[in-house]
Amino acid sequence: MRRRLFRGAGSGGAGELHSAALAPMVDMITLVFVAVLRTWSADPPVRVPEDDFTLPRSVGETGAPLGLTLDIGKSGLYVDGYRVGSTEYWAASEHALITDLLEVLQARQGDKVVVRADQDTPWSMLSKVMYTAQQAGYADIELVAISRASL
Amino acid sequence: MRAGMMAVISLMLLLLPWLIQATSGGKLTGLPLSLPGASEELPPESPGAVEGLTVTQVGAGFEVRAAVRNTDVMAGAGDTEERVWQADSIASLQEVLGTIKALDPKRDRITLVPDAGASAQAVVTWMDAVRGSTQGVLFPKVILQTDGEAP
Repeated sequence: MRRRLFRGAGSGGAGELHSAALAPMVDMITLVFVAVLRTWSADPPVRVPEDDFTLPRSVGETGAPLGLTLDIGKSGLYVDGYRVGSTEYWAASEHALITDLLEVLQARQGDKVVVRADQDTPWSMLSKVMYTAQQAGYADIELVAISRASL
Repeated sequence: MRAGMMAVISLMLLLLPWLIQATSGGKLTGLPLSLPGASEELPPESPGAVEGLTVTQVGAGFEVRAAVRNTDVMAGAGDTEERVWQADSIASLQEVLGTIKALDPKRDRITLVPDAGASAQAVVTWMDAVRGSTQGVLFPKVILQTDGEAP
């Protein structure tokens, strides 16, 4: 093996790498390079409002949507990173409309809202948040997930 | 030859750490959706054999209800009969939806009724499943609806 990968003293510099030995390395680096390019994203790293916040996973590969970010964590509701209400309280509430959130969203007066929910958030809570966003005048609602193209 | 390969390797060894440093491994994706109120503002579906399509989560499985236009030659828009399919898994749900898609290839809208206790991850998985399968695109326009007091 050593004879194949290194040139002997008679055929050039002693212990010099043979070009055939470099080919697997080039292949390997090319593969890693392609993998990194596939997962390339110009977006900043995802900043989550709570430590145990995990986004659901999706097979989708479209880009991350932009808009007012609305997070549903295990303990709180957040608009652009600022806490506006308690998830536990509103999950137990019989009201479909989350008034704390409604006031904040109406004050922002936007058109698009991006909902980031923890993967364990029950649909009953998720639907209340989306309904509230709709009532606040946000016609364009998108749910955010981690793409399967992620590393 | 060897000098050329060394140049390629050197370039890649420079580019790779830079790319890894400048990018994030987690890639986000957006899942556009509509809520019942907002869906009323959507343009009407092109007339086709399937005039209504709803998937409801029933226990561990799914119930698919489709308003299919009567086969009578005199049948017009709104003259439909309801057909019901049961699916016990995501794969069988996609099979059923594939059959319905074959009936009306132009239809791209579907209404989902998740169970109140369904997790956000389950809803995302479900949305992915109805939007497309390995066979092709199914129903990319998803309307989420609740069956309780919440919207």
